Amino acid sequence: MGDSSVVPRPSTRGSPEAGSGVTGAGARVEAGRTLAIGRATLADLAAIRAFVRDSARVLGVPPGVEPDLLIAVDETVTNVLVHGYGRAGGWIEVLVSRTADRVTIRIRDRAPIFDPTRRAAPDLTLGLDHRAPGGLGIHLARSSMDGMIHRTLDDGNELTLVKALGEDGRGR
Amino acid sequence: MNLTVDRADARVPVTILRLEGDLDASNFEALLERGRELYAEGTRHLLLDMRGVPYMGSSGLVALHGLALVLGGEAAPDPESGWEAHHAIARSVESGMQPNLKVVAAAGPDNAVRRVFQRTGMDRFIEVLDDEAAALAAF
Repeated sequence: MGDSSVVPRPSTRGSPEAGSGVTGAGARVEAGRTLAIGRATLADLAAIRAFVRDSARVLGVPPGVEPDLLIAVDETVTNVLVHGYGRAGGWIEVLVSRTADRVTIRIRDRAPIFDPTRRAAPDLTLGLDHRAPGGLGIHLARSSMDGMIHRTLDDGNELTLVKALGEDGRGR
Repeated sequence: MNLTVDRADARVPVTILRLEGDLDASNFEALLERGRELYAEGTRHLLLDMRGVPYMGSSGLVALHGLALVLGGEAAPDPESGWEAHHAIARSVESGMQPNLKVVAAAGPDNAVRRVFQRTGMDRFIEVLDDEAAALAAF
């Protein structure tokens, strides 16, 4: 993986994201960690998952929450790399942060505008051949998190994934 | 991802393909290709040992579904056609559990392979067991 950086960066996210469905303000803002890859390809997926895994542990995210974070990020990034960049590779930024009551992962790209939150859930009663490409990945990402918010940027997309933590800090 | 092959004799000859490592969009085509090779060599019943797979995404399901088609004597989608390959698949999986491919995965809801199967409904098409002996007996 070349042209990448992992930067510990204070998160400014301390209030519920609009439309996230997650209520309750974070009691304390925790530091976030950012990974940026200049020209990410599918070969970088393992490193991106490792970054999310490491970040979750550094930020004290309960272990039981980690699998959902990995699925959501991996499926989202895969769709960007395959459908957004057409396998040619492109810039990807992943920010992982947490507060007392949630984990937030923000994924930014410079691919053509695409809002996965507007995709209908796939009909899981259909065989795989009847399902639209990418639909399964979006479904897995959506079902693994409590909130998914898309924002159109001047030069690409930002997808914010939110996982609520229970009162005991565990996933709900 | 590492792939190793074993053979077993159950009610029918079974090839066991053991996977070690993550299964994602970067390597799912290699798994499908290995399955094609095994079919060409005579394999008609395949057991995937996925107890050594800490992570699997939707790409893994594409490979597993392709393997099921190949083992049934049908052509799996061309990996070079990418995700559009979904539209080329002719076989309906709504007929129920297919008999040629089974998976062994670690028990427990936190297992990544089981999690993906259950969340996508694929466990209605490909049987997932937690014990190799039970999986072999199920063929």
